[in-house]
Amino acid sequence: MSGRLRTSGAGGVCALLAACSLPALAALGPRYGGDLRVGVARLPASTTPVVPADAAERLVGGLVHETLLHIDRDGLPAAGLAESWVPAAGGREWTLTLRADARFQDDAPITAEDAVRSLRRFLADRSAAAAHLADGLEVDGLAAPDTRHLVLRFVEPRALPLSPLASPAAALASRGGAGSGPFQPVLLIPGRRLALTAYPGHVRGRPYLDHVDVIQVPEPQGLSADLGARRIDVALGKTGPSSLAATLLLVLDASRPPFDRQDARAAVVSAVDRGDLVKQLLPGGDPAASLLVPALLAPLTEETALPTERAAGAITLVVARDVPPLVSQRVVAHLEAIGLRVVADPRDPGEARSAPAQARLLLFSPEIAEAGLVLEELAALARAPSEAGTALAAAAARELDINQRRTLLHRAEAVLRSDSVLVPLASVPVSSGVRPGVHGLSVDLSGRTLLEDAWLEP
Amino acid sequence: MLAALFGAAVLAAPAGPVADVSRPADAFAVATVRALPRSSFEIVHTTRAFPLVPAVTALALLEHDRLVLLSGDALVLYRWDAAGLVELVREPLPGPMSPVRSPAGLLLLVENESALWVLGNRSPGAVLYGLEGGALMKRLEAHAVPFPDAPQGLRYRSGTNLIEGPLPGLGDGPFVAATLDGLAVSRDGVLQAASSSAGEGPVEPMRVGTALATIGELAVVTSPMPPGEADRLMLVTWRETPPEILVSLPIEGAVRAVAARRRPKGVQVVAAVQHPELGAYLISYELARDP
Repeated sequence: MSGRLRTSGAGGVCALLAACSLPALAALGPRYGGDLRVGVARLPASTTPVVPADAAERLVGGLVHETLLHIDRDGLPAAGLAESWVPAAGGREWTLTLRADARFQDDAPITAEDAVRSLRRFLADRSAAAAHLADGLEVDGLAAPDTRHLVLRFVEPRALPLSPLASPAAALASRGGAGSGPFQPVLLIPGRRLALTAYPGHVRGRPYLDHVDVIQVPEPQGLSADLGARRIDVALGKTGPSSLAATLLLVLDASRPPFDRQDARAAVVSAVDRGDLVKQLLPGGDPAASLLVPALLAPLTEETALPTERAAGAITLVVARDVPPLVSQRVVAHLEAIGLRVVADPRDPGEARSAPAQARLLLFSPEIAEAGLVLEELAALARAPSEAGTALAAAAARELDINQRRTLLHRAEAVLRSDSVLVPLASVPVSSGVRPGVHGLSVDLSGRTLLEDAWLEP
Repeated sequence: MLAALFGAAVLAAPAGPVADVSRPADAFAVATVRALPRSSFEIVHTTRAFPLVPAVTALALLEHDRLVLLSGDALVLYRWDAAGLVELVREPLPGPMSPVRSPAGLLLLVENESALWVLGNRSPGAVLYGLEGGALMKRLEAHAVPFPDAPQGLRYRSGTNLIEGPLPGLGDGPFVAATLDGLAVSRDGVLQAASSSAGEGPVEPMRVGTALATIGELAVVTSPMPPGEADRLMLVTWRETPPEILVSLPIEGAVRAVAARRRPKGVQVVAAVQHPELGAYLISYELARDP
């Protein structure tokens, strides 16, 4: 079995590892109690499970909701509401066992029927991860034989078949819409404030904080000012604890001029000085030309810089508002330097992902931090991915040997990048500014700021 | 027994001072506590051992070189002598266990140290063990640990490491540590003495860490410094106002539990320490009073 993916029974092992994980030398241990005010640029309109479009939606989803599984730093499934999972029928059938004592925030017990209902809602949304799961499942491939067991039946054995269950959009919700995350929403004033209180029944235990207030502070300068003045304790997107969890990505539309020509797209690839961009404007970033951040799929070789080509024409560049303005201005300058006339069109991040435009500049963080699923999500973002790239991604999904699969993923990433529709400019740290005395805040590989282990120094 | 012998290791350090106790302690201590005036103790022996447990939440020293650790969901009895650390008995706590982010526990010696109350914050109840002949004999289970003049006894607030109040002379709490002789650490990290114990009202505020043990007029406390700072083990007088730091020892890792007992020429202090690389280890200091 050496070299094979190990997925069955991982819940117990992960629980043990979680128990062993420790903070660095901490004279003072975590303290329970206290309230935390978090400033965000845009407050989500609701708390229902969705594929997050920006950092605030990622934050709120993680506060309110819990999924059956998580993805650990090695890209493998880890226990969430499901405590264990075992394969049968040669890997085509998987049975998940839910935690016996798990309850929603409205005190309803979490049952396998809730899981089936929530997963059907997830599959109907057709996100990249939902599409991956739906493509692999048999018709009526979800079943709840009893209250604690959920069965998924696949058409054929797949690599990491349960990973899509870690999507924030696959979080379980009660019939009344309640979640089971570490914090329970008690007040939502759209556009202004979301108040949450600690949920004692969370599967990993009550969080340290008593209350979290998520407050909309629209101006980016306002977040820094409010953090400096201690009107907020955490400023999403400001410098602080971070994880290299986003890709600054230029997405070109190969279906219309000028980027319907390969040479025009190639000109864009060579136009941006990624090293300079990172050095000057993205401290802590990585200029490697890879679609995935290094922790998900380390680049194999150093890219050789191509000679700068010329391109011509006027383009609209949709810029997601979470891209730092100085960065987007520098990218525009590089594009204009090769002969393009650029009209920048700032949009909210979710809108920018789907906007029709010749080019889009995004800070891409994945729905699920697992390399294979990230490549599929990127292929969907490209709208017209190459057949070779799609075939390689599909082959990787079927490959059960972990080393062979990694090789296929590298090839798929290179092919996906080779047609110059997806142009990675840098891996970018996702961070949150915190005031002194706030500890335990972290950012995961999907760019989500985690507050469930945050605590306040007395 | 053989497995237990293989499972334990002891590193003995030569006798003599292992830490500078003559210089002023951390800034927090200087600000709130009488500065180190003198060293009234010297270290005569230091020993380190590695129990095979993931983490320690409480410990107590018993007769006949025995000690008990509360670790995870079990109480573990050891013999720790010159030959090493040997596991003797492992007793599971009553379940079902609840998930908590910060495991915590209390071990309180009672009945002239012939019995031991055990309370863990994952377990729904407390257990009283008799200590007969160096063994653990389970006597009864209860919802809380009896505590003098505290009608509710000692219990953890559900899902937390906070001990519910009120405690006599100490207020409503909650507390992160409490001892039977009236010393506690509040949730805010302030060392509090029961007003009736000293007869002079609470001691001047001193900020400390979570681990706490008392031995007569002395208390063993730890550093209140946040993550990233090194921990310290401190022997302080607690019935004086303000308290006086007698010994301050740097620790490799974070102290999670402490215990102390009298020795013919001084005291023995044992700390359970969590180290990011070494895991859980025990360190014992034999401290002798200066003549």
